[in-house]
Amino acid sequence: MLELKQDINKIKTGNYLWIVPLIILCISFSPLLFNFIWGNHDWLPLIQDNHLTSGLIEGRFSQYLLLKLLLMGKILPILNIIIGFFFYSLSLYCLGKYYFKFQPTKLSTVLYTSAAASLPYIIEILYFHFITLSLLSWTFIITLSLIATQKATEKSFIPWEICGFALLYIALGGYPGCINMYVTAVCCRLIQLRIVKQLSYTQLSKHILAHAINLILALGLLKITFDYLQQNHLMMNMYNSQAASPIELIQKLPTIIQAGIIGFTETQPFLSISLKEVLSIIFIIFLISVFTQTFKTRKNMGDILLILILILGLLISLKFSAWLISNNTDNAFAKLDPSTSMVRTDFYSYPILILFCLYFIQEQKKQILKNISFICAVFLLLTNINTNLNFSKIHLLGFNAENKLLERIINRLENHPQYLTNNLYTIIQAGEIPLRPQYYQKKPNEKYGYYTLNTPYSRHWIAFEYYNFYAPQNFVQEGTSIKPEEITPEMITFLSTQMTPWPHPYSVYVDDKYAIIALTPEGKELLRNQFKLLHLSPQLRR
Amino acid sequence: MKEFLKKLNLLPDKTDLKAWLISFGIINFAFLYHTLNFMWGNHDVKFIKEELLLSSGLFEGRFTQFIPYRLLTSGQILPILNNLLGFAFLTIGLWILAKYWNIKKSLIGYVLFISFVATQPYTLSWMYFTFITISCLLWTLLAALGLFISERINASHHKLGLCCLAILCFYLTLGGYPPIINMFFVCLGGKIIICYVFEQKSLKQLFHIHKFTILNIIIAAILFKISLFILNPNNVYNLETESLNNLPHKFIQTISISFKQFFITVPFMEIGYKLCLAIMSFIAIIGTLFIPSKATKKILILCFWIGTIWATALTTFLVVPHTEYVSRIDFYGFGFLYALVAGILLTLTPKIYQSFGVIIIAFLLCLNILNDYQALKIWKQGHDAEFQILDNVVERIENHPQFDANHQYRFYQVGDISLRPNYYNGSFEFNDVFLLTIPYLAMWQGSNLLEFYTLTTYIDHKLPLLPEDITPEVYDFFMHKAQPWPHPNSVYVNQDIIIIVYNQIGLDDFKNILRTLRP
Repeated sequence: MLELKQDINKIKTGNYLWIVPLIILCISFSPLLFNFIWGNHDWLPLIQDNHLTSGLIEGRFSQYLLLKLLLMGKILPILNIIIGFFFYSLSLYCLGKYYFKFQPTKLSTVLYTSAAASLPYIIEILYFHFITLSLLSWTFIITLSLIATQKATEKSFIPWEICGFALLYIALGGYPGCINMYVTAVCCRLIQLRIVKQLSYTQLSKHILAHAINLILALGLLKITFDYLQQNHLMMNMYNSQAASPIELIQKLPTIIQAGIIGFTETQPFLSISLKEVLSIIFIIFLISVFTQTFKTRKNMGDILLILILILGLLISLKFSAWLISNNTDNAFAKLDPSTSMVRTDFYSYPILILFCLYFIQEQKKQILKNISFICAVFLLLTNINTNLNFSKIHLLGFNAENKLLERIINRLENHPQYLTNNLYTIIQAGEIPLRPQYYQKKPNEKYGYYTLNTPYSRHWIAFEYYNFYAPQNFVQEGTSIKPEEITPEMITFLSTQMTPWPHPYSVYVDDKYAIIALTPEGKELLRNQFKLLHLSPQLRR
Repeated sequence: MKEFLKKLNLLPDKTDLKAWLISFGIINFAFLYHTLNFMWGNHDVKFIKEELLLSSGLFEGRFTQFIPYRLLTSGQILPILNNLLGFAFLTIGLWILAKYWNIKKSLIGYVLFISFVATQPYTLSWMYFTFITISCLLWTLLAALGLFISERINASHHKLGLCCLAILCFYLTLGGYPPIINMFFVCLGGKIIICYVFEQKSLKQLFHIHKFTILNIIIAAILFKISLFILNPNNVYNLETESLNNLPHKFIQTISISFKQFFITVPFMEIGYKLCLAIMSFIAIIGTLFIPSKATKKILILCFWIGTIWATALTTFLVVPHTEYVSRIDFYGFGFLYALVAGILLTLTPKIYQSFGVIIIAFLLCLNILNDYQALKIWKQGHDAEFQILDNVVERIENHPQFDANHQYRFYQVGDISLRPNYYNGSFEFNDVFLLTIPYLAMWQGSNLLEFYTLTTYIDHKLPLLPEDITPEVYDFFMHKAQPWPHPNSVYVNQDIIIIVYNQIGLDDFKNILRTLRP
């Protein structure tokens, strides 16, 4: 009873402040909260529940754990996002208060946590509904892991260490990319411990050891888990789960450090130059503060070297997941969405770094630096709200536009003279049309933005999922290939001579087994070439 | 900043902050359905896709209209934030007005005053067009601030600085939406009544206090006119002002208009609601007349009231276009007269007036919210219905055998469709287009609308229909075969042009145009 009273008193003294970033996140993304919009992998999971094993195919064995526990595996409007926001804002608050152990004013807490939480790195996480809750919630699990590991350095090493390791392992099992958060937070904490708390080398090494053990154990066990799943044919050896070899790790080091720095300047859709400039200013002020304090308190080369190593480590930590995975430049996704510029992995590093920098600067003595960082945080918060709402608006308009196109295509199919109501078709959709870019004012030098802007809501290889979505009964079956024995003379004529991109009358072909939709000129050409190969191949014809 | 606000008596205390917060919550609740459903008006189509530039309002002389958007949202029309920012400005603006009028301070009084004024259905008229919502609600804040500062100048040592600040407030608002001038004079009239009735000021004292307000407004108006002269905007309808010769006649006309406003019904402000407002106004006016004992004073108060009521139609008096009973104009005029009577009722003695004021304002606040929700339901239904037609039109065009998506067509929309009235069964004497009848699928926005959700752009936006497009075949089609939507002959596509016929009136007009082209 007394403990409960103490807890309530604690909340009264400021622990409720984490609600402010939660409210700001909700306002920033309210068009997404109140309009149910989903990504291109969500069509089927929306209808069917997500099972605990659904993520095993890419090794994400704990991906659906939280969704299953909290929402019975269902993707539910509002709740899905709001629970994620809840854990995310709570994690940033706890990270500042209980891991970094800063003691800022209420205003600073609210402002800095809100500014970091609302950074637009979060937008990519919100595209796929089926992982939104878990991807956002891993931040909280990792925060708990960090706090537990820190506790291990103070008392009961083994139990707290096991606790920290288990939490980290579960989070990595849901999304390995969230390792960035752990490493970034640890690097920040080590800098803080050395510079602000002035810990001795022995004390510092105790912290390093505790965190490193956890990290190595979690990563090691993750690798063993992946191997086990692959051996049992439960997991595919996909591009995003291949670890780099030790030689590759050494070779990649300069590129990764460079990528960490470029992250402060490289613009992407919704990550504008003004945002990056503010982030850079905050980071530069942080570096100035770090070096000023280092020179003030310690002047030997060993200390300066240690700080330099920690800063380098911090830069690596920002792109830690990109450093760990094997380069697979042959993969189409790797070109469109390179691992060193992935917004969803940056989500686990840059907000943590910025939160730490803001708090760190606030505890400095130089008023001018504090004032600049305060102004930067205000500007950051306002920019973030604008950017996030702009993202939400474009997400909404693009989703509506693509759904309207889908309706028109289905109408055309249903009104086709060859269309039979009770038939089950294989749909060959040639090309895809992402319509979100139509509503976005692209700025010069913006790169990538695959999931934040350019990916369509319907992928041609899962056509059956979305064509069946609003239909009174399923009329499309799984599969996207034409069987050679089912090629008819009409199909040959259509594919080789008549086919013209949408919305031309010859953009749609229907027979009793196939429905072909030529959506784009590129898709049409690709399909025609594939068909030529298929049709002319004597082996296949036999 | 804190010191400056303290000196101006504008530093909010706990009651003020609570009043802001509660009123802001009530206002947001009243318009929640609009905030959560992203709807945009027919002027917004292009701006939703692109962005607002500082120069976007210059063609009609509104040179400051988009400054707030550029500063606050980088020129983007953003769902949710558009309303939230607008309501925040309106809340603070009305709080300043409450302080300007010296309305008796209490949490419930301030909350009722701010919420009642802000939720009047007049506010809806600024929500139809999303590209000016923030600006036009911000102008109320700046206008109230301008008035508040002007009143303080007399007692201040920094007369020049405060004058400049007040002039800037008035100038910015005039540059954004000139009919704000109604608000200047209605609020000033209200202040004079309040000073005369409650503070027992003499006419000389009143002049002494308010001379700066009048001076600042005049200087701002002159600067505004000079700016227009320099910018030389297009000769658009809303910049036409009356000639001096016409003003005497217009003066008499506007007196009648201003008093008729008490009873003229418009959509979502029906007779019962208007009568309640009229009763509230009547009691407030009578209440002020009972306070002084001398008959001359009573007559003077009555004159002030008449002047203030007339000021609600000041824009109608000054400009050529008909602006009477238009809610977006009345938002700055008659809406503030209702604010004044509400404020006076909450301040009047004996206490019975205040109790009555609390009851009737609370009741009217509920009616406001009901009217707003009814309007927003109808807006949403109309919006969805009209956009459904647009989807069908797009589909019809895409499926047309003559249509080639790679071609650039000249486009013409014949007539338009307004479906909001289909969902409204109320009665009104004067149709305010912005509240109900203006279509989302406006004729002049046809080309932008058609391409809003499509994947390819196939309209030539630079060229309208050319005379040579009216071939004998086209002429024959529209003179003899064309029918309004959804008839199969409502969509015409050939190798050069796309024409959609939305209604019979539009078709008849189009036929007349064709006859002039091919007599």
